[in-house]
Amino acid sequence: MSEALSKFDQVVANAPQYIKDFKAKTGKKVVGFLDTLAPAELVHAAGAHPMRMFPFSKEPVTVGDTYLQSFLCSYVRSTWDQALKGMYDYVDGVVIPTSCEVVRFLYQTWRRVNPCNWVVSVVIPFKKEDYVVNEFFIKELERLKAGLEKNLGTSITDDSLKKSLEVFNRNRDLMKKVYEMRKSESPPITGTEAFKMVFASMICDKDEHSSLVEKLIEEVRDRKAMPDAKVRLMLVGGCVSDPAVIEMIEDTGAIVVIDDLTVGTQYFWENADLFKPPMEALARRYLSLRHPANTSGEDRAKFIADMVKEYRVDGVVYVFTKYCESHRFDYPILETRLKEEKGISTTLIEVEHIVDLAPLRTRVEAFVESLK
Amino acid sequence: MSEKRRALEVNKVIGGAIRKHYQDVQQNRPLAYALLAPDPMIELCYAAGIQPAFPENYACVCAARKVSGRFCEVAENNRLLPDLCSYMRTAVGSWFAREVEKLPMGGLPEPDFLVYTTSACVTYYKWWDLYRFYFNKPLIYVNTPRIMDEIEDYYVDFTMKEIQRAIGELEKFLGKKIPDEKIAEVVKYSDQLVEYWHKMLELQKTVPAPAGLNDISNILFLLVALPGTKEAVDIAKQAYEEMRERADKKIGNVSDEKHRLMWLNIPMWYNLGLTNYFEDRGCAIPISDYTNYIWGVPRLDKPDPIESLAIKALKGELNESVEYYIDWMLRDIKEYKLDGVVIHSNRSCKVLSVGLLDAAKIVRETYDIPVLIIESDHTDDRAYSDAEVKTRIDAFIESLG
Repeated sequence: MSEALSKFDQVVANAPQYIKDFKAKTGKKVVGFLDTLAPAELVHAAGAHPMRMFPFSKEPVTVGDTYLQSFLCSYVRSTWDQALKGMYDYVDGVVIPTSCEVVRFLYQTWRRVNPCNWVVSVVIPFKKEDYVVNEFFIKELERLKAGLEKNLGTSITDDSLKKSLEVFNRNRDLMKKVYEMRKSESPPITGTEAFKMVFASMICDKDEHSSLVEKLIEEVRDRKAMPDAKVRLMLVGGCVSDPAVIEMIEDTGAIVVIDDLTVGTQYFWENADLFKPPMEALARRYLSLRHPANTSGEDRAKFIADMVKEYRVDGVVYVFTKYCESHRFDYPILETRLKEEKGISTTLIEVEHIVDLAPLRTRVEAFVESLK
Repeated sequence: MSEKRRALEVNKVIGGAIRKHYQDVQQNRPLAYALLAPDPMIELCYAAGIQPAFPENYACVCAARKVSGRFCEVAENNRLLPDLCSYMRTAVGSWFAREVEKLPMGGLPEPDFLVYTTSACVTYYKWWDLYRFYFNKPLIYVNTPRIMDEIEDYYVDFTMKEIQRAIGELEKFLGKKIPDEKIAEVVKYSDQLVEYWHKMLELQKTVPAPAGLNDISNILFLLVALPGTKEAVDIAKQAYEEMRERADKKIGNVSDEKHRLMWLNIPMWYNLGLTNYFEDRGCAIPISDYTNYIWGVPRLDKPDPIESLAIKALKGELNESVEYYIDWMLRDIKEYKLDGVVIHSNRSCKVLSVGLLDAAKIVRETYDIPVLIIESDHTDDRAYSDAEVKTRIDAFIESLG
């Protein structure tokens, strides 16, 4: 097996241990972020280590139940529950952006209960027009920068931010190269492996991760990950953080070749423009993300349709998080544009952080069968 | 009417205003769909001679007529997934059902364009995105920054620029200028309305409370749908005077007021009788977060009317934080002399449900007063169990002593 892939496997299987070891080795502070909309480059530029806070454990929600109802997103509920239980004791501070309503309102509770030392917020605009960058977003990023500097006791300079943008861009470029390789007739890595690569990118030191991705590109150059796979799928959805979901889908014999997922293209597809001043480049990069909470369904449908064509996708599987409004709202638009107008086959499964995959597998199996 | 509770006389006038609003919606053009959270676009519509229509309010009407559950089902059959906001499912469902069903108030006609302000939930953004897709009509909106910590000066500046931009877009759409003095006039009326509103909320501190929750929610129609009109100011004045007289004479909405409660979250519009159920048992509900916090909007009396509109959009529970609202609750439990809190944990309104359990915990810890949590939905009545809810209310009222 590829050395890089097995390293990604290890990170995904035990992210907290990776972070603890990394912390012990480097002495760096660790800042958790709750959504892809949190500008992680600023944390990196402050000399700290940014890390996506997923609910790493499958432990049922218990303490968190006294704060968040069962009809709210299970990923946020589990993250909050695990924070209350001290399971992120290696996290020095947290950044919460305005993404969905549950995260936005949880910020206030988080600030009061304060389970991870400190927490700062950043307000993400809905509009993405040019004027928003200077009139609002750079100023808001300056506020976040000040909050990080205060809590981390360091300063973020234009130079350090520029370097961080370069480091992140390089990592994104490399992952895009891997994704490019998946366009081939018989892709060199599975969707599950790609998912783990992106997951690891959200956890690992960026330079280390980039080296691993470079290695991966060499290692799998002539590999055919699933030579018998006849059906090529695209996954579209939200905060799935468990590779078992992707594994279950590929167990049906189909291969996932591209995605529009949080742990996927929603995280790394867009780069920062290094010709712009660093704060402006950062602002523009985060406004350009295809996050469903501030991206129109039409724009998402267009991206998905383009990917379906480029990656010669046979079918789209929506992997929606139960109770997640942002994704679920786009469903009528996506179905009309993709299924009705372009004749793309689709199916929908709904997942939660802790979910019985067996019935979902039956559904995906039937779908894959219909595509053969 | 029950002898145990006395609804305000002004309700009849407001009922007339609601009917007139729906007639206007049927007759007047151009028609803009708008949303209900504190939103400067409504004042701008009135200043520009545009008729606003409110799908959320229309969903309430459908719920009161007991057809919201059916429309939710129609929406779900048209790819709107369950658990999405039931205001949205009801309103969109009614649109899909328009050719086969007789719609309450004649239904909402197709809009000429869409307006809103992002001062509430992500749902607003996604819902209007969906309407743009369904109707293929222009969308004009104001992006208010969310308040996660404090209101920064650049939040106000940006919101003011957003409002100016929206005015420009409206003018382009209409092909005519909206006179500055017209904007100043609607903001002045809106301010007068808010001034009366504040006074009415203050009067509710009187024991016994002059108005019931249904009365106050009814009066709220003026703030959500008619801000910036003289008609709304006149009715608000009348409502205030009636409440003032009651307060002076110590006449309560509940004739034998034994307990005073706070209601949290949107009412169940399909079962407003639930409020009566409390009132008939001697429980007045003088305050709710819906009326006092979401709609606890500040005065619009800044020298620059655009700044007033910006502050209106920024300040409101939905754009701010639950943190404030817990502080406000703790303050108001004392000021309104409350002895219990009823929380509607609202399945399809995430924005108003996150933080409620925390609020309940803090209230219990601070004041040692009973808190009742009912899980239901504001507009979708299909999962509501009247008998079960009433059994829990009975036990709660007993615990009030």
